[in-house]
Parts: sequence; C-alpha cells; structure tokens
Amino acid sequence: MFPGFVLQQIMNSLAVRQVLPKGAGRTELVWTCFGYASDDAKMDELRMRQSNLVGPAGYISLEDGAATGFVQRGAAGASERSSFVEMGGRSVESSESRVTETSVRGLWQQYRRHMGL
Amino acid sequence: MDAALQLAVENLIARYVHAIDDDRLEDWPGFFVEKGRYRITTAENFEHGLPLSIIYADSRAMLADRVSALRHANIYEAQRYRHLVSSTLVERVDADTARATSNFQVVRIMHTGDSMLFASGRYLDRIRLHGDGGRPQFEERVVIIDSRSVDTLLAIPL
Repeated sequence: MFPGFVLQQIMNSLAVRQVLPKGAGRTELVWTCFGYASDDAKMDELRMRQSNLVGPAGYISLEDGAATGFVQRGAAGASERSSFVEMGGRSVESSESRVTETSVRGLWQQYRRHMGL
Repeated sequence: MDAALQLAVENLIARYVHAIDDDRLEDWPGFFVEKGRYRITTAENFEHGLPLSIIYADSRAMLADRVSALRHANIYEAQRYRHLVSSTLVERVDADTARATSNFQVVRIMHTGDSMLFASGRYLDRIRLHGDGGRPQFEERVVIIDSRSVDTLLAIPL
C-alpha cells in the first residue's frame, strides 16, 4: 500500500499512474484521468484529446511498458549483479533538468524511514 | 434483412481490418468521413459511462497524426495483428446511414513469432453508406475491449 503511484499534470489535466505489482514478473499500471464536475462539453472534449498522450497507447507513455519490459528481461540473466546510475545526484529535490531520478530516491528514502531500515 | 446492406457493411469492415493487418496504416484514416470519430475504450469504462479512451480521435486528421507518430516517432517492438471479425448485425438508420455491431478478436504476433490473443471485444459502428467515391465510410467507430487491461502497449489501432 506504500505510495505506488505518480501524480502528474498533462497540460491542464491531472492524472494518476498507479503501479500494482502482481508477482515477480508482472505489474499492472492503472491510469486514472481527472476532470471536474464543472467542466462543460468543450472542456470534456479537450480532456479527451489530451488523454491521447497517456495510457497504453499514449503518445508519451506508449513506450514505458515496453521499456520496463526490456529491463526486466535484461536483468533476469544477471540476478547476482547490481548496478547504479546516480542520475541527478543523491538528493531529493526539484531540479532544473528533467534528467533526474529524484522521485525514485524520494520514494525509497521514505520507504526506509517507514520500515525502520 | 437487407442482404445488399449487410454485404456492403461487412465488406467495409473486412477492408478495414485487412488494411491494418497488412500494415497499410496509411489507408486507415480513409475509412472514415472527414469528421469521423474513433475511440478505443474498455467494457468497464463503457458500462460505467466513463469517457476515457485509450485512443481518441474526432477527425480523420487525428487518425493521420497517429499513423505519422507510429511511423516516425514512437518506438516499439515489431509486431503485426490478425483480426477476426464475426457476428455483424446491421440496422438501417435512414437512406444514408446504418449502424453495425460486430465481435472481434485480434491476435498479436511479435517479430519473435510469439503470438497471443491480444484483444477481444466489439465494434459499434455508425456508417455513412455513400461516402467518398460513393463507398461506405465510418462516421463513428467505437472499439470496446472486453478486458480492463492491455498487454504492454497498444501501438497499432484495432
């Protein structure tokens, strides 16, 4: 139940990407996209068009599942080994660049705190 | 039952799936009228009246954009589809329009040869009987996938 989700903003629409592990070799990714009850038909239409960017056929997210699948397949044959890329440093903070794993570091640091590790 | 209408609709749907399966994606937008609508959604979303779609287009131009993205922008493992379409029920709306419901299954064949039943569901179509060149075209095609999930990604349209 530990926060396995990313809250994101695409243009002016909010969305949640939720990771549901189903086993060692299987994960489900659930997309939830939000609108407001006060949205009119034109805004609904706009959000529908923006939703093309996300989801399993999303223009910006289509490759994500496949890419993590490649990593899974590649790592399967190297279970005794480890590697580490310090992308964006070691801290958990906002950055000028998008090339950072700050949110991943933040997740694991919080996890360790909660688990007393 | 209007046999000529049934055949015309089945022929449209057959030409549509062959274009996709044959990797003639550039032909895909032409199956729709200019302001044609196409969306893929899940049965769960559809039944709950939730509009979120996996692919959404409300014009032929948006379909052409998607083809362009698949050919030039997106990166995904080489794969092909094989559609099976069956049980097409056709209902005439007026002199120029018909509705149709069909079942479909799509096998996805990866470049490795691995094949899987990728998607099953139904097509809900609204068809203009005399579109471009006098041929039937889709005014709207709603693709409802039975499953709530899609394996890895959906690149090629259904």
